[in-house]
Amino acid sequence: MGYQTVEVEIPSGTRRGTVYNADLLLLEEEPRAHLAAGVYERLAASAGVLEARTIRSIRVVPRELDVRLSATTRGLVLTASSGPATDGELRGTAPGDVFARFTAYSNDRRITPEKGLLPGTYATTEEDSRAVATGEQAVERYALPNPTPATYRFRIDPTAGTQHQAGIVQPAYGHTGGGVEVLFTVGTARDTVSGPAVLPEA
Amino acid sequence: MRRRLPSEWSKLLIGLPESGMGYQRVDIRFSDGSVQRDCPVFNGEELELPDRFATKEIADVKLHRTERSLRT
Repeated sequence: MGYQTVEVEIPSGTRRGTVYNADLLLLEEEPRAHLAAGVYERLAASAGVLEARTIRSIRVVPRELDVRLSATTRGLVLTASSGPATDGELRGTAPGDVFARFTAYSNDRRITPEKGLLPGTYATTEEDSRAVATGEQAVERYALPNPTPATYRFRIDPTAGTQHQAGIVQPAYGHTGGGVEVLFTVGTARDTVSGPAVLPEA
Repeated sequence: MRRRLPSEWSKLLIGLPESGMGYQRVDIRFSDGSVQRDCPVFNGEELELPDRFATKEIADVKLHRTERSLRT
């Protein structure tokens, strides 16, 4: 809602990006530091930089193609909503399903002292998490409003049948999103969370 | 600006669902009656606010309700 995923041809080649409100283009590699607050006014602050580019052509990427390109977990895409996780069908996890959670905080307050997730906690699939090598990449892929690199990666091994909804992270806060998001509606059992592994910031 | 939430509000938010991985979107009502909507809170404890709200006392915190969430 309120954005279009596009491919633009500029002198240096073809780039993907997101157009907000039909008048502001942000390319995927655009610096994000000044977009920290994630509001449209901040997006507009970067317009001067963008105007300096010479766009030769621009085309809107169809939504189906956008989803296929942005989600790496083919099996999950077949069962996940192409919208956010809150639109996804409520399902139970299968035996052996593994998930990951990125955060800028080593003391993640969504993890209980018994090493479970609280109800209403988000994560991603372990497979999708492989696309993320740095804390900054996690911020971009999961469209996180906190600009601090999410360098802590927790692993979640839920018991079979744990309720969750799955979907695709929508563009937000100046980020393109596109990763898989999983919402554990009732949390996870004790002793299902381990870590964190620590990633480089950039 | 980043502002640390008083523990009473942090405890409240920990019991509420996230809006995305590691954050919640909230509406803040201040003691002077002013309201700031759709502010992100990170890890249930760090609130992102415009600078003009830096010193205002917080009277209430509620999850921000989008049109989408109101349908569910």
